[in-house]
Amino acid sequence: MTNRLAFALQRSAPAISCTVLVLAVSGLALLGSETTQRTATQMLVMGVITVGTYIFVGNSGVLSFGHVVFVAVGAYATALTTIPPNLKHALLPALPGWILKLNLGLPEALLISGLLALVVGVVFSLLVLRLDGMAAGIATLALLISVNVVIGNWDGVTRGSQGMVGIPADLTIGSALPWLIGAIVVALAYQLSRSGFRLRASREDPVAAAALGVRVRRERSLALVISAFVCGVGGGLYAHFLGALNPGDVYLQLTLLTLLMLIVGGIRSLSGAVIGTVFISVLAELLRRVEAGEDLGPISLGPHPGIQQVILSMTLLLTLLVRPGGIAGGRELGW
Amino acid sequence: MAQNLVNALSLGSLYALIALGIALLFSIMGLINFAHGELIMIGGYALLAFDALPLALGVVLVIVIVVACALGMERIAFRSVRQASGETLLMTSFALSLFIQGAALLFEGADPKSVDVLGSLGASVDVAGLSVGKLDIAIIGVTAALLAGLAWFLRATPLGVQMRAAAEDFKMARALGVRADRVVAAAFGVSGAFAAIAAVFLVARTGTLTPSMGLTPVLSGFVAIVLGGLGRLWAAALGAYVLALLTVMLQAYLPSGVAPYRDALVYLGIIVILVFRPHGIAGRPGAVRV
Repeated sequence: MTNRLAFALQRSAPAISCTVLVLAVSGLALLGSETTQRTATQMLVMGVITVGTYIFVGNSGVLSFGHVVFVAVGAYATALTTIPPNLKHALLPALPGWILKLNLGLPEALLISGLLALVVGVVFSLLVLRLDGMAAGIATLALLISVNVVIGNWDGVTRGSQGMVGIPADLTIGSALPWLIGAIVVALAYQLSRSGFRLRASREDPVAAAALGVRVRRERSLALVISAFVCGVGGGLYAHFLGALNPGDVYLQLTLLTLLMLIVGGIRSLSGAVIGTVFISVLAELLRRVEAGEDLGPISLGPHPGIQQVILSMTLLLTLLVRPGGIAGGRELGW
Repeated sequence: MAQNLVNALSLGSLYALIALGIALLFSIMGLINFAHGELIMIGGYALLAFDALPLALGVVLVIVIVVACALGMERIAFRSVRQASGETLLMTSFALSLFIQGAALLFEGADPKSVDVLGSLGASVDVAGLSVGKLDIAIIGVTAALLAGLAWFLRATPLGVQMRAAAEDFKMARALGVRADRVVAAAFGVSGAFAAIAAVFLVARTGTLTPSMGLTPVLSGFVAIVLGGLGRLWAAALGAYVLALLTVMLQAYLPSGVAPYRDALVYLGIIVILVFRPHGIAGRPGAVRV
């Protein structure tokens, strides 16, 4: 019995360590100013999105530029279901009546958004899962662009380039944290499932895995669908973090940030995804202060727009050149 | 109709210049170079910097600068990851592209700048009853000359032949004595020259510069390559003209309700093509290697 307990603890070690890491950083942030707390909330939201992306990209080894599509679906779905009905009437009169009347709480809205993203994930998997390598990269990017064009022009539902406003911006560290822990648990559960093992086998050597009877496309679809659900939930959280939503919020910038966190942290392990999120969030916050020209202790600097992008992309470049496995290098946190 | 064809030919030539610059590197080292757009951006800003000089001299300087940047890119960022997987190369170029964009943001600011390189090229002339811009004629003519020049270079010069051999089978070519560093550097150089000329024409068409101006052309270049066929140069040029024709025709004949979604349709079309022909319309599937 103790053996089984020890075994279960051993296997869930990455999730426990990641949770402890996230709790520690959030706890520290709670001591800080309101801006620091807001940054920490953003970190938690990004954590859900990166962990969601990791479930597919990390386990399958197929690079996806398209996961922000699920984030976008989740964000807009949450916005549509949680903007107060009277405001929605004024903003989007063309919507069907039942959507106008909807007024869900955040948890229900997030789950529905996740499910909607999951449905989009099924379509996505039919379209691009036959491809891998470069073709997959281009196809997922093409999908992201198509969806963004639709979001930017579908005025009756998304208000197009005017953007959604009036989304309750009520996300705090406390309300975001359980979702990130949930995402970590889901990711680890998938990773430890049979499908997770098969998919990672196909990542290491697709031909050998297929020869051993792994149905690569089926395992990829399953990972993609779970991944889409988590990213959809992350998108909903993102909408409630921002309070207003523009097509540009769920486009290349966010795609880059997600991939940056994943690759710098280490794309091949769950711990890598979480460490990358924490690392890049802290770095980005420091750089944001430099960019805004705030004083950093004794050093005082003028405003420098662009410096954040320069240093973040340099971090990514250096990671790829010097330590391609990222900080975690494919290993999981444990004891 | 004929007017649309001229527009498509001019736009297609611009796309072909961009697509060939990208396709050259892809066929040799399997690199999808996002940072090609930033080479175009650098070319644009260089053009602005040499505004006071005569146009011809300015263009030469722009080409020199962009080629130097392309060679520097290869040496600093890509040489050490050359053996890595296609995904790593893709991410490296993505990171490099954002790095250069950020640097441009830092030094030039985010506000668009306007340049007027057109001069006398702004006028139109009558060709068989059509009013054709001199710029369109220049783009079509220069591109045709460059395509012919590239074809000659690849067929008739030793370096060109080595590049074709490397594109066919990089490992085999190395085994037969092709020097990898030289061939790859040459490919980056040619790619940079194409980017510089594309920059001149692009800026002449739009007249504005922003740090992120490279993204749209580079995406069009990718699409053209995928349309044509991965790994074949002439197919990339063909894909560019097909893409331009498609874009112009959809623009002209799409009902106004659907018109805003044109780009969504184009990119969805790309996905469908990739699903059924993962190596593009004219591409060759490679064998599965164990």
